[in-house]
Amino acid sequence: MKHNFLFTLLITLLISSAVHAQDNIELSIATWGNTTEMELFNSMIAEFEAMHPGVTIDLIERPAQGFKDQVITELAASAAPDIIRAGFAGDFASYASAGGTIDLSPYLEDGYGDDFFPADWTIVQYEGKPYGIPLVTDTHALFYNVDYITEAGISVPQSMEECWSWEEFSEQSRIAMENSDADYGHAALWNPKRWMLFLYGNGGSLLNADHTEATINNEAGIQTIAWTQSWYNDGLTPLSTSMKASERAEELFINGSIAFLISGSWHLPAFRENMLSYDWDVTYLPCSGNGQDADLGGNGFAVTKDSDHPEMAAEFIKFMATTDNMRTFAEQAFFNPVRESALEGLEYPEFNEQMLLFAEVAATVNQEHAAVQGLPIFPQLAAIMEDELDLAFVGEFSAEKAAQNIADRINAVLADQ
Amino acid sequence: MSHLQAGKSKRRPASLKEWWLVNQRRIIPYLFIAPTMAIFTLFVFIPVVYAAYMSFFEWNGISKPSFIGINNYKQLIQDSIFWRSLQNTLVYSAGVVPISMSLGLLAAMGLNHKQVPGRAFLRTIYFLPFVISAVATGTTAGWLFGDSFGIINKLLVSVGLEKVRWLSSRENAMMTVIITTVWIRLGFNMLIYLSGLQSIPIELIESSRLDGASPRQQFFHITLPLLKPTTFLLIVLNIIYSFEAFDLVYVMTNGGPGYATTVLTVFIYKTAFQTQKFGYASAIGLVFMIIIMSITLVQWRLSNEGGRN
Repeated sequence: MKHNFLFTLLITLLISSAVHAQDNIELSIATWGNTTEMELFNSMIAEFEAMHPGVTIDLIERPAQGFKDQVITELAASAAPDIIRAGFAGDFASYASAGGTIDLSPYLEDGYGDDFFPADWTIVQYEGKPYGIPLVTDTHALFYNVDYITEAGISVPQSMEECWSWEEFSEQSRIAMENSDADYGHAALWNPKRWMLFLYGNGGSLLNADHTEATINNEAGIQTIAWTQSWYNDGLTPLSTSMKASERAEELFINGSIAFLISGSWHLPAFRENMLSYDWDVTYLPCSGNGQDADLGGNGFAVTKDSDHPEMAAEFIKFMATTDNMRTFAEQAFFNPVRESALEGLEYPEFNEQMLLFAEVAATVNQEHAAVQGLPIFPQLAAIMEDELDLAFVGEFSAEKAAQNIADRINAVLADQ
Repeated sequence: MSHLQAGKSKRRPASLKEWWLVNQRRIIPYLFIAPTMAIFTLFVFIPVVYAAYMSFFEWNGISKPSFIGINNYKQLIQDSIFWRSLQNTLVYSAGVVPISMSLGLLAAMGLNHKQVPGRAFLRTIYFLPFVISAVATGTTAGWLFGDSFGIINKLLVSVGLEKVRWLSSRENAMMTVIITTVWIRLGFNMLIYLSGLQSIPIELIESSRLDGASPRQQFFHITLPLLKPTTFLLIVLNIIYSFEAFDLVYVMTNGGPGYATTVLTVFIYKTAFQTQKFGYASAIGLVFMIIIMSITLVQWRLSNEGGRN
């Protein structure tokens, strides 16, 4: 009798532990993020765990700097977290092309991507399949020091149609520099991806339509390099904020060294906290009149090849990107949503007017630009542009030579593919 | 039976205990170095061998590597950025090593005198930058030398001088990075020289003084020759350090303006992690390692010859 009892107990324990093991799913998600973003992720995790008993999600916070290096190392060691955050600068395609992340098509219902803005949905694709889900986007606009431009008698554009031409902007920058306490007119928080907004906005392109040849070495490309180079040559912009910057452009804006700053919406909370000596606001970027484009910043999430529970991992990133969650995340963390439906009723607790301006700009991203930025080789192309544009900005050579060098080096990379 | 007798006889030891008694003097040193060797093997030797292997592949760090023979090395020879980075590394090293050692020796000479007030405090101050992370010192140096709101430029302007483009000018950026490195390394060199100076028998100095040697003669004919082993050690350590410098340069200039401060370590990092060409980065790393090893070997050869002379 005693033996029977023990046997039954053992069997019951074994069965219950087996059932329990089947129910228990542990996921890990690696992300960078500020305090607000981490709180929002934690709250989404708590809600998802409540909806899916037995599922626990471990949120791994990492610095944005070096994030990709760490993920690549983990993928090489087959020890990556289930879910990773990925940026819009070619991350999704470069992870996917290397087999680091998985195709999410089997987990997404037909037409899932229809609600997403085309550029943001394009950026997560690799060979026509979604290897991630975008969460939010951010773009650039023109911050200005209200005190300085008032002092200099400058009025800023009030709508996208009223945008300054490139020449007008350079002139306004000079006027602000000469008629206020600003040491320089303006600066941009560069990276090659951001520079491309001017290239495509000028009707130029980095690559041809089938991505087999560099097309920067033409009139539009050279003109774009020459104009951005002239900022430095004409003394409107400090050389310390060139492509390989030794000073942070946003810090120069905060301390009143520059009158205008070309950068993104994520600065808003920091400017509120730190830019106490001056009033500031945001307006539209200068436009060349030859095309339309905006910086395509942003990020989303992907499921890695190392996940033991890809279905549940995909379920969670879909949950993060539902219309309501996306809207809340965008509102609280000062991003723009990437779903059309999330724009409805979008109201930021602060900086509503400025954030809606950023959203308006973000909607103008050039599709060709998005496609190039989403290529797996984009990090290599970006490294080439960073080198050559920096050399042009610091006066090493002309815009023509820079365009030629970029084209030659990119064509060499393309030939290797 | 004594240990000696056991050692001399060729017969097999009767027991483990006996074997241990016979061989312990030979084995114990290996036990002492075993942990270090294990760590060295795990974190240095295996990665170096693996990097050498990977240098014959094209690999993006994640997917399956593809064998390309010596193509990475062929590319390296034709790569102008590699040669520029090597040149920058040599310039950086040639600037950092002699200046930081001379200033370190000078500081050590000064702080070796017991009469100097606050000696311990000053030694700590000199040594402090060395123990702080290079990222923190690089960031601090960036603030000091910043073009627009750097403290040094503010000081220059306050005394009526022009601002200097310390980090954004191709001509000045390398010099600024060298100055910062010298600031970091000075304390280490001072400390090693200080221990070298304190090992010089005081009688030698005293007797030379009695023989009428001037302080200058004492320095060049007694102190400096007796510091030769210390100097050789520091030359090797400083060259290796300056060749391996990465974090400071990366934080201060990101290798710019242009390629003005792109040293080999920055180039390797960017090749591996920015463009995901791990095979090519391994090839550069291997060539770099051979260069460092060759320089070190030459240094040791010279050091040994110097010692014999």
